[in-house]
Amino acid sequence: MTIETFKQELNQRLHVLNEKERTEIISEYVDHITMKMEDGKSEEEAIADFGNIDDLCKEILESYHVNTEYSKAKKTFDEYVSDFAEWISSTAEKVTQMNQKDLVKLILEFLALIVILFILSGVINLIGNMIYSFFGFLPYMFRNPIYTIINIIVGLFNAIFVLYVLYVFFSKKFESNEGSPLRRNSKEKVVYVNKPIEKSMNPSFVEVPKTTKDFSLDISPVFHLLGKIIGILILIPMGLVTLGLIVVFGIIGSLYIGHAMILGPVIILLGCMIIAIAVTSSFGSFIFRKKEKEVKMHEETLD
Amino acid sequence: MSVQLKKGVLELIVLLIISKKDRYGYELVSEVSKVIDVNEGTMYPLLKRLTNDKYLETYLQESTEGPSRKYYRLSVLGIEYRDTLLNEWMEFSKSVNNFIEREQNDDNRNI
Repeated sequence: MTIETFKQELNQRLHVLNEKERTEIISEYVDHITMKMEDGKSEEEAIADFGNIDDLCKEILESYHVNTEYSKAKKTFDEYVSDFAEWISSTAEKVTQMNQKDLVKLILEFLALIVILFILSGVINLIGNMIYSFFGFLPYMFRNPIYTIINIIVGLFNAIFVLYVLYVFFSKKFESNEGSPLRRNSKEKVVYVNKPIEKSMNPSFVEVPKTTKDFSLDISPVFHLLGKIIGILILIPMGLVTLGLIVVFGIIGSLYIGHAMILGPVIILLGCMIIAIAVTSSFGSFIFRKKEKEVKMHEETLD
Repeated sequence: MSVQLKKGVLELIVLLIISKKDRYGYELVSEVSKVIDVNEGTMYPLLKRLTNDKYLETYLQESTEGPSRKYYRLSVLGIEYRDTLLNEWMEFSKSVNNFIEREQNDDNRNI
C-alpha cells in the first residue's frame, strides 16, 4: 500500500468524523510514516506496521466513542433515504439563507444550464437519428424494433446525462465551500466528534483532495452571458406584465368605488403586482448591477 | 504478553513517558516500544482518546527537519489520572506478586 492509498482508505473509513478531525488524524499518520521512512524503512513496511486497516479504523473510531458496528455496516436503504432527505433539507436551508442577488443568479444559471442541456439533448437525439438512418436498407418490420431500441437507449442516455449534470451543478453550488452537508449533519449523530480543535493546528494539515467534482472546463462566463440573455428575455415580458397589471388595477380600482364585491380581485391583483415588481426589480438589478459598478468605477477614476 | 493486559498498562506507560517530557507521536511510539512490544496502530487512537478525555493537550511546534510536529503534554487532569493509575498498578502488582510468592512457597513446602 502506498501513502496515497492509505490516506484514501482512512478518509473513506472515517467518514463519520468531521473533515477537520479526519485531516488531523491522517496528517499525524502520514507524519509517522514519513519519519519511519527517514529511519530507513520502506513505504510498504512503514504502513504495514500499523496492522490491519480495518482494526486500525475501528480503534480510531472507538476513541471517539463511536459505535463501530454502525460505521462498519454497509449503508442500508433507509440510511440512503435519510441521507437524501438531509441533503434536501440542508440545501433548502442554504437556499433560504442566500441573499436575493445570489438567488436570482442561481435561478438564471439554472435556466442557462437547462438551455444548454436542451441543446445537448438535441445533439444526442440527432446522433440517435443518424444511427437509425444507417438501418434504412432493412425492411420496415425489422426497422421498427431497432428504432424502438435506439429510442430507449437515447432516452436513457439523455436522462442519465441530465441527472449527472444537474448533480454536478448542485453539488458544486452547495458543497464546494463547506464540505458535504451530509458530513456536517452526521456530526450530530456522533458524540465527541464536535470537539473544537485548536486553531493553531491548521497550518500543518495535509491537504486531503476534495471529493467534490468540479467542471474540468471553466464555463462560468458562458453561464453568465446566457443567464443575462435569459434574464433580459424574462425582464421584458415581466415589465409589460407589471405595466398591464398596474393599468388593470387602476381600472378596477376606479370601478371599486361603486362595487364592494370586487374587493377580492383587487387584493389578488395587488399581490400579483407586488410579486411582478419584486421579480422585475431583482432581475433588473442583477442584469444591470455590473454595468452600474463599472460606471461608478469610471466616475471614481475621473475624480 | 496478551493484548488485554498490554492495553491496560499502555495508558500508564504513555502518561509516565509524557509526564517527564512533552513528546510528539513518533518519538512516543518508539519510547513505548522500548518498554513493551506495541502495535503502532493502537498508539494513535490511544493518544486521541486520552486527548478527547482531556488528559492530554496538544500543540504544534516547528521542527528543524520537515513539517511542524504535534506535541503531547499532560494536563492537570492527566497528572491526577496518571497518579491514580500508578497507585492502582502498584497495589495491583503488589497483591498479585504477593499471591504468586505465597503460592510458590506453598508448593515448595508441599514438596
